[in-house]
Amino acid sequence: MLTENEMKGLRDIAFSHAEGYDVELMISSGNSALTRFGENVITQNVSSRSVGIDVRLIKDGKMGKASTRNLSDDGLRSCVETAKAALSVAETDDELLPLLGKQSYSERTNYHQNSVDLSPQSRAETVAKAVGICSDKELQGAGIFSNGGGNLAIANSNGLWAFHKSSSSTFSLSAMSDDSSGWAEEGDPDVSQIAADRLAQIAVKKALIGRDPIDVDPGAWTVVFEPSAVADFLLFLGWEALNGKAFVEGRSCFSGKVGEKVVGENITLTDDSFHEMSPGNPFDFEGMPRQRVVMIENGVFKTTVHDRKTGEKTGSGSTGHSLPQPDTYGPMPLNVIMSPGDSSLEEMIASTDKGLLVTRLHYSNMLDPMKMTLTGMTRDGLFMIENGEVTKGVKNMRYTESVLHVLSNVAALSSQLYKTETFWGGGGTVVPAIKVNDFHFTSRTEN
Amino acid sequence: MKDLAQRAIETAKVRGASYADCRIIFTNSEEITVQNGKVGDLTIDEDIGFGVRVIVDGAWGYACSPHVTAEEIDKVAAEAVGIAKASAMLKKEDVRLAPEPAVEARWLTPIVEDPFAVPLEEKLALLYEIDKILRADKRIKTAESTLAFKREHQWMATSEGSFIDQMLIRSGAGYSVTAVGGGEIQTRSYPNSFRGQYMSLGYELVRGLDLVNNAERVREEAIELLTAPTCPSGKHDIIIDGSMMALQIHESVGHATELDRVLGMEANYAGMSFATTEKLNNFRYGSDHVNLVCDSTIPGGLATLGWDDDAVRAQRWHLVQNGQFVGYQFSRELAHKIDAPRSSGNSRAEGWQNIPIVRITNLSLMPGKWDFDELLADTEGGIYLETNRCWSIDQWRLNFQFGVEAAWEVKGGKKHRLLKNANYQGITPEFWGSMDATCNNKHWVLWGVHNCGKGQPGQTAEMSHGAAPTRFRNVTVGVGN
Repeated sequence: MLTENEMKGLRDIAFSHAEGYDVELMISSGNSALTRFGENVITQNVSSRSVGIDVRLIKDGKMGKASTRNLSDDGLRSCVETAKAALSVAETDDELLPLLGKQSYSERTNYHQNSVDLSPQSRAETVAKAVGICSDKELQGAGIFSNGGGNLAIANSNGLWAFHKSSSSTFSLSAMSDDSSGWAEEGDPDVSQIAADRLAQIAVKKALIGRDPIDVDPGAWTVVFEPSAVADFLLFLGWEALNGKAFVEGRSCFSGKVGEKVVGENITLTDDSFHEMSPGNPFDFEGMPRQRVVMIENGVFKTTVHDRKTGEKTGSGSTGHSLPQPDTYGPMPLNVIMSPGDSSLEEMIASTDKGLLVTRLHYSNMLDPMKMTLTGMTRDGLFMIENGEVTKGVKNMRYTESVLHVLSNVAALSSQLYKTETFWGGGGTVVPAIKVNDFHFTSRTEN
Repeated sequence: MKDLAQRAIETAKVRGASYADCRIIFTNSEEITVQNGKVGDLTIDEDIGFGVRVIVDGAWGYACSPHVTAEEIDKVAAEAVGIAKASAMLKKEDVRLAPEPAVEARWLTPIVEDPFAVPLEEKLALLYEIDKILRADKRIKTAESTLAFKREHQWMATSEGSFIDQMLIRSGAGYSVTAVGGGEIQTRSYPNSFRGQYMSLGYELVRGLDLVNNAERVREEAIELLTAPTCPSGKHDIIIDGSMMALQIHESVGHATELDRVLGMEANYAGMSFATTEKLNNFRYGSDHVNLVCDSTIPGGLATLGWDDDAVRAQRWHLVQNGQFVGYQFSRELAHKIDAPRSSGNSRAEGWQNIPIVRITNLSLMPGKWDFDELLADTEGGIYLETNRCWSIDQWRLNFQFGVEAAWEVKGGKKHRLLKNANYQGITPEFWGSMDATCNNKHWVLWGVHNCGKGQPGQTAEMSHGAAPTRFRNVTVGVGN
């Protein structure tokens, strides 16, 4: 991995090739490794190193960009020359913002050397123990154990230098029988916090309870959602509705609704890169410090997140949520925190006469962005709740439902928060488990 | 490059590898986007690196690096061997590669006009012209047009004596426009959603798409959708256009017939498949009209190449023949699982950063005999669905639900009023069983999918699916409307 000093050296070389231009650089470097397993054996085992530099030049209201992984002097010179060529043919952009000035950043530590150094042998030993828990119950285990670390720097010719070092690790396991499956996953910057055995036991327990699943009718149900499913709902809300660009262009369902009640009063959504459970960066991809943003408070829409461009249009300024510029998608929240309630997963189940428990959602996607209607499937553990107890497995079902409807019908939230990834990735989300009334399943499947 | 690739193999062999391959890849790409009259993106990228894959003690290891030097190659090859030894700690059987002859070969995507030789000014001028037409109405809030080009030069050597020098060139072009009004948001795209049409062609793709002349129609359809009636809910006969059919094929046949999924190797993430091995040659996938063919040799296909990343020659074969399930997509490693004598050539990796995995190749629904007007005329009542906007399918590739950008009511054999927010839902074999007609060659287009995600770590692959407008009977439509 490139060190901070090595990255500064690359910055100086790139700047020297780009005299006469305003220059912005994004320099990245990382190591990652992943052991993948299926049918209780290792099926893939990989290690990767990466480096890259993006060069964005601005001059006379025009912009050009190029990127390369060739970090030699010749490679950097060639990259800068390509960016100059791109700029030379661009038309003048009257909305192009000048580069940001020097910034200061709050301390954010989420780097653990042990997560970078974890050996393939250690991963294999951990996986062997976990799949042993599966095979002891005649189940097939499949999943991943990954680890790695990376350095990211944003620099510009106005004196801005932002550097952040991070590490990551994830263990995910699906335990499967012929007619059921269970799943558990955990990620942490510090791999020593990953309890693979415990995760395997959770997945195995779900797979065993789910055996001989029954069919139930689609329709409106009371549903207890475990954290991963909650995160999937919020991912789409973040992408489509809490996106500053969609908001200013009138494409967000919250456009023109600042101060209005949009979901239930028990819902508060914040984007907070500095939350103790959220592995965020202290700055965005323009080098702007990330701010904590309360987006929905007690059901009332407050604001989306912004980059400098959308922040200027709304007058609110950037909240430090820019993607790499130029950006056609718009700023989005990457560290969403849903405020907790006062219940627990166990209490939500105990308080349900008849309902369903959803472990995880699969392949959710947006049907209607104005209504925030999603469709997707349940997977790896759909269970019947009867008289306050989880009684049996249920064959998976498809839902078609509005996220706004979900968040307007939350009957309970757990007091415990969980850090979880979504099916589509998208960064760490911190959420409670929730119980939702009147949730609509629209079709069933055979498994 | 050959010397460096062979150095990796020798290093791996000395350290105990029974098999090794090395891919060195140099990629150039160019992506230009104009959004709402501004350059949204104009990025030119250059990428180089290599990956070393080995089998040691009967298990796989893979390591890679962006530093293509002799010293780094030695280091990475040794690392791959160490990783394979760790893999061998948890195996049931040794990796067995189906036999392939060693080959020394070169392959280049046939193109007419080098897309990288066309001046940037010309490309930008085209996008600005389209953008101006798309935004000629204040109800249009977002107009985005894109050109994208990629040239991937790969040198691959294997310990079995193969050396393949292969250059793949892909081009893409398209636009979309989003109208907002009356509490609605509606998008129309051309020639396809998600950035348009992509093919293994040069700039001749862009010149042949008639991009400018379709812009006004696309804009007006987006605006009309704002006030169009909602697609009704219920069971209807439907005709699906070729581009939406491409995604239907991709999701409900392409992924379902990847043998690694069937065998549980994707179970934790993308899922498995209902098309289990006992069903091969013993299962009705669809009606007699359904003929689905894989073809890595078809001109213009995004997965058209000379050899895959297992050094297996490109091939053509049926997955479904007259409705019967007759084939899988697989790699050398998996061939013996279905007693196949050799790989079907589906092993591909995204760049040098990733290990090859089983990927869908070009997979097409063979054309039928109908003219589109004849098919409409033969449809008394129903709905015509065009251009994908949302897709979702379960982890067994059975229950799917797809939304489209636009739909039209079909009444008395003709297209009538435009309908908004249309979607349809089905169960894979049941759905393909309801197919009773597909249009002929005149309406058949090879549609590119340039963003297929799979694997952990995630990889993106490209492939194409040929299809013509196709009719299905009695399908659930308008779910949630």
